[in-house]
Amino acid sequence: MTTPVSVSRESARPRRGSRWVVLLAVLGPGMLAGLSDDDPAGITTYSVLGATHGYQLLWVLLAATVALVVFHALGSRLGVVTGQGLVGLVRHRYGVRVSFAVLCTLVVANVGTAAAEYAGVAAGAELLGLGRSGAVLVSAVGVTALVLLGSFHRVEHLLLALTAVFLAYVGAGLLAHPDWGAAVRGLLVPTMGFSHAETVIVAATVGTTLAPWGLSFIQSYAVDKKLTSRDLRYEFVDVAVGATLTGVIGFFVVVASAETLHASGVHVRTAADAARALAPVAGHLAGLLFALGLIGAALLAAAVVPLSTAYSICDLTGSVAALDSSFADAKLFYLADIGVTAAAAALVLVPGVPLIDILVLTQTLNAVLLLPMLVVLLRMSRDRHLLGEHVVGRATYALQVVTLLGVAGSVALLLV
Amino acid sequence: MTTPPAPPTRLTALLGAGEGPDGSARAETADLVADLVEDPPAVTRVLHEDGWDPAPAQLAATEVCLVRDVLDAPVYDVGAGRTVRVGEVWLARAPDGTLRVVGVEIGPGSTWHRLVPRRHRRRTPAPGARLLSLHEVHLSSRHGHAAQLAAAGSVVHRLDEHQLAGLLTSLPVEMAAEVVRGLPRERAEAAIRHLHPRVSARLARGLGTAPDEGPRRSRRTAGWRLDRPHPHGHRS
Repeated sequence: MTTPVSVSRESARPRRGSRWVVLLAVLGPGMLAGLSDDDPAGITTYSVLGATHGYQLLWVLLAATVALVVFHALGSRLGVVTGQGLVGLVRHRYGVRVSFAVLCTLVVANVGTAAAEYAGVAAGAELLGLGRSGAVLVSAVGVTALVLLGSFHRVEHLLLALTAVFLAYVGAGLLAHPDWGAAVRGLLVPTMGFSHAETVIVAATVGTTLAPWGLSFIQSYAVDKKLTSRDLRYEFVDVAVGATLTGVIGFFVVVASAETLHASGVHVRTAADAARALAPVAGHLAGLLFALGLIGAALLAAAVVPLSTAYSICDLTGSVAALDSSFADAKLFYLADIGVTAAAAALVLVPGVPLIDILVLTQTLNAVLLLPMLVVLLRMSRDRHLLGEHVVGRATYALQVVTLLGVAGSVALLLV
Repeated sequence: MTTPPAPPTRLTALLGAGEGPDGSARAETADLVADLVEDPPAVTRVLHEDGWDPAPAQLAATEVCLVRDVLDAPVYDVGAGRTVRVGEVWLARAPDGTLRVVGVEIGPGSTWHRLVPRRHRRRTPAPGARLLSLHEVHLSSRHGHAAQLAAAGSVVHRLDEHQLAGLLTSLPVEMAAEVVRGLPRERAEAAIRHLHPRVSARLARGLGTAPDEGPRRSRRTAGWRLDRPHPHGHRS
C-alpha cells in the first residue's frame, strides 16, 4: 500500500465556488431522463387528461412524479455504484436470457417510441406551417450529428439547453388564466370514478411519466458521466429537480387544457389537436407556444430514446458505450443510435405505415416491460453484492415498495 | 506454472447439473469458488447455494465466485484496451486433479450459444478465438476487482504505465481510485501522467485529493474525446 499520489495540476487548483458548482456539474442525468418523459406522448396524455377530466385527476400527475423521483433515483444509484447500465446489470445479476428478453422488448418499444417523437416533430411542424417531411429529416440528421460529433458534455449541454423550450408550456398554461384553487384541490385531493375513460387515462399518465427507456437511460447515462458515490446526494437533487420540472410542465399542460378545452367541452385526441383547439380559446400565442413546446419536447426525446437504446444494446454485449468515444472505438453504440433514429424517422415518413397501430403496440410493450423492470430494480436496490454499503435503507425500500404497488395498481385498473 | 490439459469445460455446462465437476452425484452446482492466487486459478469449492445469496460462504480475499463475479460481468481487456463482457468461463482439469480456470471467453459467440436452449444445441463448442486468461483481463465486478487487487500476481500488478492509464480511464472512478491506492507510488504517478487532464481530475476526486468542487461547466465544454489515453501523454 502506498501513500496517496498527487495528480495533475488541474485537479489541484484552488477551491472555487461552492456546493452549487458541484451540483451544476452533476446535473444532467435526472434532468434529461425526467424532462424527456414530457415527450409528445406525454403531452398528448396530459392534454387529454385536462381536456376530458379538468383538474380532477391532477393528483395522478403528482403521484406519477413521486414514482419518477423514487425509481430514477434508484436507477442512477445503481449506475453510479456498479458502473453498469440497467440491461448490463440485469445480465450480470440474472443472466443472459433474461437480459436478452428485456433488451429485445426494449428495442422494439424504443423504436416505436422514437417514431412517436418524430410524429410529434411532424405534427408540430405542420402547426407552424412547415413541411412535415423536411422537419423530420432535418431533425433526424441534426440529432444524429449531435450524438456522433459532440463530446459527452457538448451533447449534454445542448440537450439541457433544449429543455428550456418547456417554458412554452408554462406560458401556455398561464395564458389560459387557470383557476388556481381548483388546480391545487385537484392536485392534493385524490378523487376519481372507475369508468373506463378514467382508468385508462390514470394508467396512461403513470405509464407515460415512468417509462422503461427513461429508467435504462438514466442508469447508463450516470455511468457514462462517470459519477461517483460521492455525487449521489447531488444526483438525487438532479433527479428530484428533473422529476419536479417534469411534473410542473405536465401540470401546466393539464391546466391549459382544463381551463380552456374542458371548460368549452372540446375533446382532443392528440397534442396537436390541443394546440389547434387552444388558439381560438386562449389566444394564438398560447397555441403557438403549445406547438413550439411540442417540437422541442419531441426533439429532446428523439435524441434521448435512441441513445437509451444504444446504451442498452452495448450494455448487453459489453461493447463500448460512451459519448466521449470515437466512432472507431464505439461502432456498435453509434450504429445502434443511427439505426433506431433512421427506423423511427422512416416509420413516420414512409406512406402507408400503420403508425397508430405501431404506437399502440409501443405503449403496450412499455406497459408490459415496466412492472418487471421495477421489480428487478427493487430487488437489486437491497443487494449487498452489487451495492455494498450503498444499498438503500429500509425506509427508502418501503417507499419503493409502496410506489411499485401504486404503479401496479394503476396498471391493474386497466383490467377492471 | 501448471498447464491445464484439454478438453476444457464450460462453466455454464456445470451449473444446475446433478453432478459436481469431479463427476460425483450431488446437489446442483450453483457456483464455483476460484482462488486467484494460483496460476491458473484453481477451483477451491463448489457452492450449492447461489453465489448471490445474501449470506454466501465466506470467501478469502483472493477468491471469487465464478458465476457471481466473472460470468456475464464486465472485464477490462488489457490487450485491446477496452471493457468487454464475459460470455463464458472455461475450466479444465489439471494433471494434479484440480479444476482450473483456463480463461474467459468474450465476444458474441459464447453469448449466442447460451441463448439457445440446451436441447437445441447441436454440440458443445470449443473455446472461441477470443479466449482470454485471467491474466489478460481485470475483473470489474465488485468482488472480482477487489480479489484481483488482493492477489499479488494478478494482472493489475503487472501492467505497464500505458496499460494502467487505459485501465484507470476505463474503470468506474472509485474502482480506479482503489487501483491507484493499491499500487506503489511511482507506478501510480507514472500511469497518471498518461491520463487526460480531465480523467486525472475526476480520479483525484475519487481519491479525495481534489477540492470538493467539480470542474466548472464552462471549462468542460471542449469537445475532447476521452475514451483512451493519448499514447504520448496529455492532449491539451
